[in-house]
Amino acid sequence: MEGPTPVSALIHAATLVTAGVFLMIRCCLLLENSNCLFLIALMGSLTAFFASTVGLVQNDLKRVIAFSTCSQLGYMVFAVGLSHYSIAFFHLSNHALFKALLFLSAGCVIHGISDEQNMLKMGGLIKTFPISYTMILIGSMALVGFPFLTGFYSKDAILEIAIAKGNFIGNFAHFLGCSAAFCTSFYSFRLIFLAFINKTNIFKSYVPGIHEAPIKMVFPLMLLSLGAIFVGFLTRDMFIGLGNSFFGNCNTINISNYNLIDSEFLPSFIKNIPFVLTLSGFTMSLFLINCFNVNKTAIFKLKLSKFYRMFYTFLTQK
Amino acid sequence: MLVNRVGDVGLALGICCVFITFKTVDYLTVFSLTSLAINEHFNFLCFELDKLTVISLLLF
Repeated sequence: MEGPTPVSALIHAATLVTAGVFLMIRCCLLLENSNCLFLIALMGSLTAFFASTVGLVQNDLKRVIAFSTCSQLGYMVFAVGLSHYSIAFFHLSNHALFKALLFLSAGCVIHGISDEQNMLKMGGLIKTFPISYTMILIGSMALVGFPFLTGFYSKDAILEIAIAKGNFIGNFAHFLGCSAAFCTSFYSFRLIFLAFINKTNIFKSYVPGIHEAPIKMVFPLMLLSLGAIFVGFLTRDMFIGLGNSFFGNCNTINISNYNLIDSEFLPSFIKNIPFVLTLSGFTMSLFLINCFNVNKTAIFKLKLSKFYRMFYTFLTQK
Repeated sequence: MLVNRVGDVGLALGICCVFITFKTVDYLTVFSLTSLAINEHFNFLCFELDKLTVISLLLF
């Protein structure tokens, strides 16, 4: 689904690509009485993992964000497949906030450097785009589930109900979801390092035209960033609080499938797995980018090796 | 693009199945009647398919 950046912010965050997930949440009564929830959870977790691995090697700024949308949709679908519709809806609404923020601020950057979308031809933009950088940082933090930002509450809730399910599909979804969390963190911070922090790699002819977005473009970003920071905490009880009546009877769960309480009493070791993986993804991307800056020959040798080439082509060819 | 088209056809078939089963596509009516359709079957190529499972799969 490609389009101009504000359009893709709209379709990825709120309307088009999440419409299918909303349909499934809305039809929860039908799904709950059928026998195919297993298949939905399987497809969802596979999508989450697959899309995040593809996102690892994309060089287009918007495409990285688009694949992260795809991976987050996978999270929502497997939350539906594990029959926790309220959590899927919570993740949908939170995801709308920080994904719109990411797309719009990426649009500010792309507009500011003469419509260049390739991340490898950016770098060092932190000095000229301080506000866009801050916004992308907030959006990425919320996306990877940094504690107490918006994405943390919904994503961790999804992964917790997956492991608390206790059957095969729950464990499978938890494993793939955690791997996807690792990949998400890796490519989000890869985006930030490549576009903003690295040494600059930009065309010289673009340099005089570089400008930070005007206040008209930045103001909505600020509103969205407030959303990306606080909304998860503020609406958590409304969406997934135990036994509240926000959804009325639109959120019907067979009592045998209901394990919000089990997920509440998991050992904290298991609850911390996604966070540890997120941190390790961050460290990994920092490490690789720094290696690339410091020791170019080693990375060059690695890139020439057969394993790396197979891995890379496997990922880029989807 | 191809995947989108396949998905659209599936969704259309799913809505048709909802209409065949419940004679309506109104959310409220469908959900009120869901419990009546639990053990009903479609007969498709001599296979007995559970109606709700078929509907959910196609909608998905």
